[in-house]
Amino acid sequence: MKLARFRRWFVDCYMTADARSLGFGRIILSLILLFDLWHRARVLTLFYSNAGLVPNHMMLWRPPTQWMFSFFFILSSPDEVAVGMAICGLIYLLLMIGWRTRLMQFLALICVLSLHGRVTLLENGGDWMLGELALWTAFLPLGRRFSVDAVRASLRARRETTAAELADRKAMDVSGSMAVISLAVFALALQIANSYIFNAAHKGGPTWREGTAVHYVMHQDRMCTWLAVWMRPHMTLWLSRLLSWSALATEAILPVMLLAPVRGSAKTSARRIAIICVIGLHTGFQLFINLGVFSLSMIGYTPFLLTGADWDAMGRFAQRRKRRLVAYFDASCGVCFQIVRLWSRLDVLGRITFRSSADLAAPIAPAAGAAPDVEPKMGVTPELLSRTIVVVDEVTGAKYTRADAVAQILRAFPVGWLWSLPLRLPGLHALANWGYDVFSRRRERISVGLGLAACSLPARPEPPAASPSPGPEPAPAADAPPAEAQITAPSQPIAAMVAQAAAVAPAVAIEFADPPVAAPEPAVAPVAVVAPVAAVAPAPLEPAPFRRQWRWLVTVLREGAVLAFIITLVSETLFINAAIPKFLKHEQPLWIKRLVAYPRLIQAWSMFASDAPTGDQTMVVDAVTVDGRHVDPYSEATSRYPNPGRDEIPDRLDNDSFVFNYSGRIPTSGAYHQALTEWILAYHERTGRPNDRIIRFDAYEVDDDSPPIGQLKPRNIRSHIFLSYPPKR
Amino acid sequence: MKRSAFYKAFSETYLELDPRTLGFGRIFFALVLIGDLLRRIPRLREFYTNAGILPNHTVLWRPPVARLFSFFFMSSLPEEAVLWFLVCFICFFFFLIGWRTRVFHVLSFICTTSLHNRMLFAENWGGVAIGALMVWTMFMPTGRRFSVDAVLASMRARRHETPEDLAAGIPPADNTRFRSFAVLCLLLQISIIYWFNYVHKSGQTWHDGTAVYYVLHQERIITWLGLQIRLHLPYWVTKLLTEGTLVVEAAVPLLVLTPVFWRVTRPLAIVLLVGLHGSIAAMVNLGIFSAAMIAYDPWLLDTVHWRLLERLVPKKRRARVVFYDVDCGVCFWLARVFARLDVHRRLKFVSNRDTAALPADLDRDVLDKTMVVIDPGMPSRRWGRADAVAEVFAALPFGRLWSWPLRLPGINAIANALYDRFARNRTRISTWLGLAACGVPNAPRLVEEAPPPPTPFRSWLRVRRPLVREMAVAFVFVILAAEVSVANPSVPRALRFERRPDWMVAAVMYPHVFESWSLFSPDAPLSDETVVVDAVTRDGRHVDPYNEVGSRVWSLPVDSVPVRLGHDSFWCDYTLRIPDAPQYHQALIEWILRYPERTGRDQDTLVRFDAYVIWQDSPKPGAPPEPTNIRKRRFLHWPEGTP
Repeated sequence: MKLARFRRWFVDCYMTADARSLGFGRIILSLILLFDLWHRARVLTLFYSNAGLVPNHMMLWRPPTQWMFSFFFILSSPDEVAVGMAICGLIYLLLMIGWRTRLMQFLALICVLSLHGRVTLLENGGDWMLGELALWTAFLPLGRRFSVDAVRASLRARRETTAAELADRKAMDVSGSMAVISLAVFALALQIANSYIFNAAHKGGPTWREGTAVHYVMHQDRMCTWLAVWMRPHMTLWLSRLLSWSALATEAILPVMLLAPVRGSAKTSARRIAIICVIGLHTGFQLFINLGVFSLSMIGYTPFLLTGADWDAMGRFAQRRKRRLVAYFDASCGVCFQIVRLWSRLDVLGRITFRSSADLAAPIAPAAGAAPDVEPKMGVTPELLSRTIVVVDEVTGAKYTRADAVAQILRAFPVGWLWSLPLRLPGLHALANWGYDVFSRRRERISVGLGLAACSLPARPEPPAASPSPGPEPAPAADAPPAEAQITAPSQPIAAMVAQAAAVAPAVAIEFADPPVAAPEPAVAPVAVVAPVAAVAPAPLEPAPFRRQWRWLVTVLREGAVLAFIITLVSETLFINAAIPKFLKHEQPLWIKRLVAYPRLIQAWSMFASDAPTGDQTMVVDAVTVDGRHVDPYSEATSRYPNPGRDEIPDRLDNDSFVFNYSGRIPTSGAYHQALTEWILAYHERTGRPNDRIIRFDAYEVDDDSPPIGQLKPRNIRSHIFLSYPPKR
Repeated sequence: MKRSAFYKAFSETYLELDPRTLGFGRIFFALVLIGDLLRRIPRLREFYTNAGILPNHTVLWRPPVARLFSFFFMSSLPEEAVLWFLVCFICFFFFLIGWRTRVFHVLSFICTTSLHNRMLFAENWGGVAIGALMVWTMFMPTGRRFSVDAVLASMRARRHETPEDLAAGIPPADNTRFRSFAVLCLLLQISIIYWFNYVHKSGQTWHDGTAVYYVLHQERIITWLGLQIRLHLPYWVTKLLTEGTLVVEAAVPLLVLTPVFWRVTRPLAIVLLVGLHGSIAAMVNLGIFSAAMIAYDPWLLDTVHWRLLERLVPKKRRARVVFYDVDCGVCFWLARVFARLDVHRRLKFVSNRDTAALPADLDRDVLDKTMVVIDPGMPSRRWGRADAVAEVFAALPFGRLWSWPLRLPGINAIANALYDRFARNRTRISTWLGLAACGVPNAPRLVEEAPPPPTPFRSWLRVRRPLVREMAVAFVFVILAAEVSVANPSVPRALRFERRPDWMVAAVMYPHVFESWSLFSPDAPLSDETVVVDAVTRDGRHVDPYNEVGSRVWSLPVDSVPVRLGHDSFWCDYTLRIPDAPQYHQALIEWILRYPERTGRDQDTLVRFDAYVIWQDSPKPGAPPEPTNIRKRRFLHWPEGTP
């Protein structure tokens, strides 16, 4: 009993996530992945191709780690790498919209690990966090909500045939329980908490104790932003202390908020605080220093921390907005009805009521708060509906048609202003109206082509149910036309089909002769849709036992894999972090080392620890061309300053994170100097000028000491040569 | 009318293939792919890992061709390479059995390209032949017959099949011939390979009939049988083989492309080609080349040949009636599967409910324990349990292969025990699988409804899909035709597409489908060569780490090319090329110096070595059998700077 209670408690505290959080998290994760890809595409030639500084053969010859995985190793030329990145981009987009989500999760994981694994020489903690986010979420059903998969599942499970059936939005939700229970949920929280625990624990040096850390970070010209450059003359000790200690305090409090053993409203509150802290902390980082994708990666964890209570609160807030629309559409247009079915599923806030032309005679209750003298159907006639959809704002009485109507519907969806914006822009608006008219004129043909009903033509027939079991047969819908009215020649010309329909299905023809005036009952609703079967698909049959057991086995294997990765995380954490006491250190078995290396499950968290760097560093190249000029091919390609020299480190080099990591590591990585030499000597090939041929060069590492608080100029600038050509004896 | 008759004849001759040919061709091809994969396993460490002589970083640093694709470049460690080998095997296997055939056809193409391109430096034209066959057959529905896909499609199409339907027999499979420009391209491909191989054999050794003689003096490729032929058979035999080779290579394009009597000439081409490549494989080791060329032959079969084969198959002798328990869901399901595998229609499945069909002397209770198979020609011959299963297998194509294990004494007993166990638990198994079981109706299952008829849009797409396919075939044809024109010197200058755009060159390079056909051309090699490494260990011994791994003979000193070196094709081609490939010498040095790691003996640490290439001229016909003009050149020395 105690064990069962403990299990329930542990599941509630740590292993339960809301499906909406997973769906929203998937969208945010995809956006971050796309940003990461864009960030790397900018340095495609420099760091991902053999024309750059980190050729694939060099990485494979002297790998930074024994176990590496990346499909980018098989791509050598810039155009090959571009194709590889384009494939990654496509996968990320499909993940974002939630199409074949499980497959895309797996492929996205392969892509992100490949992108990072190709340039492990240049990776930082942000890359690890992003890869780990992709890894843990790969075990979660991110497509259950806010996805194309979810919409398609709903469309398949419930085949409405009338506008009235569209009103029952709850029945459209077939995605199952909102609660998702998995060890991977716990792993996510553990992962992010882990990074903060040790980032805080390792920050024990003088700059953090004295509160000067933020000041010194802002003097890192290789990574600071323009805001940092503007800010640092105004930096005082108390301001630096405030920022430094608050960052430290935030990092210290976050693990508590994330791993607090609380449930229910306490958990919701703790998570909300954590989300605010994470976003605040990393927004602050990103404003002052460029750490690549680090800040975004950390923020990417926050959607997964939202609880069901948060979503309910957001739903209540959204419902407060009084916007309510009534959308009238042509009942006899098959493709129109299918689009309306789709829209009703996207209308998660329930702001739109859909009514067909058949419902025009029926009275509707005015919306709450609507002016009592508003007549929503004013001016809405079957003739108008035969040309355009009509949307009426119940509150204001405004009426919209054509592209404007579509824009109003899109506006009613979540983040609707974004989807509807293109339709409302001046030039695009006219184009949209033109496109709408073209569609409207051809909607019959489109409907017939797609096998849907169109204006007195019945839909293509549905086959009889195929189940051989003597289960209960679903009751046919009251509005279903007689089976013999169905025609099975969708490829015939329309005229022939009309003639056939009239000859074979006089009952159907009669139905469409006069649009029903009062049609409150679905029995007289016209056949406008695909299948003359019940609105709800037959209740799902029991799966065969072996299928149930197979699903159980898959679940067990999946959770087992998560557990193996959690064990790896814990082992790596204990092994690699200096703050761990010696007695907890251990020799890692080979399988753990591989599970760390291949998916980059690294847990070394010591950013700006133990101290913020009190000096800056960069790399410059002094190369002499064949006509005697001094150039710096490296800075030309990587910095704001094409030839900064070695007498100072200029303000805000504007390096991206790959460049400053490369600059910081290459001086002491002799194995990769040959590639750097060859790249520098290929300078004239890049510029296309034969006079740029390099005859000799020296590569310098330039260091300085950052100024203390109250001063602005760096001190003690020094440089030393780490590479020369021709090699010096 | 004349035009349509001409088109019909042209189409039948050059554009159509029987689906059975597609299926059989697929199976044979997949077996060749699996064989090609398996023969690389002993060389996995040397050629697919960084512990070998061709590390991935070396090949990427100095690739043998400008455009190269292989996912094996991702793997550095042996276990990583093993994993990718496993992936390849899975793809080839599913291609063989025809499950999701299209998908695994494409994946097999990617796998085979990766396998070959990873060690292009040590590959021969067998890989190119495989690649070309892959390219053309990818446009064909090779899974329409003799495949899991075909069986599943048949079962889906008759999902409401009853035992009576089964007893009446499955409708014959659809043998509508497949028509496509890709068929003509395949025929042209076969013809081009042999035509250019023939035309390019313009040297003296082919004119005077000594080519095979000289080939048999290639110690690096000769087999044991080839050595016996060389030693014991008279010279005129090899002269005959030389002329026979030329005759076959010249005749094959005519036999394949002739518009008249092609139903006779193509099987004749098959016989000749099997003979040619079989004898080549018997005498010299050219790796997968011979098998790859033979893999083209099944695609020459036509409908008339299949009908002939069907007539030759004895149906009545192995005809059987199978009585099974229809209340057992899994038994009925198995009966449906076997009925579809029974392409020769030897089996008649009768349910135990059909009491009229049951023999009078058959105890009905027996059918509760086992299925019963009866010979209709001799009803007293009956089998039950594992023997009954063996009889059912025996009725299937290549049935003896599947059935003989069940008849072996020890295995038969085990099979019977397993059968009894299955029979006792068949109700539970059926229920578990969601099938009907003994009085329990079919468990309702989440099966999709039969698909509705296609929408007009889908029908429109379906009609146009072959057009898209044909455009793709035409596109590939243009690319490869351009490659043929440039790669073969015998093509007149006026016909050469010399200024190809880069993308066309890349399209040929990536999948490595170079169309240069000149095996042993213009002359057979008049000399032989090998590589010898004379390495000195720490304790003063002389060893040859190179030939210890790749050769039959590794004792030192070596003054001439040893007899029958026993190289595999990879080692042979690597040996031929490495002396003149200094970009790969560093990798070879490092591999040689890792000798003590491979032997596990510390005293095998090397202190210095020299690598030599040894040439010799093969003895002329009629001259004493010893090689002449033996030369030796050192091409590698370690450490550098020492004498």
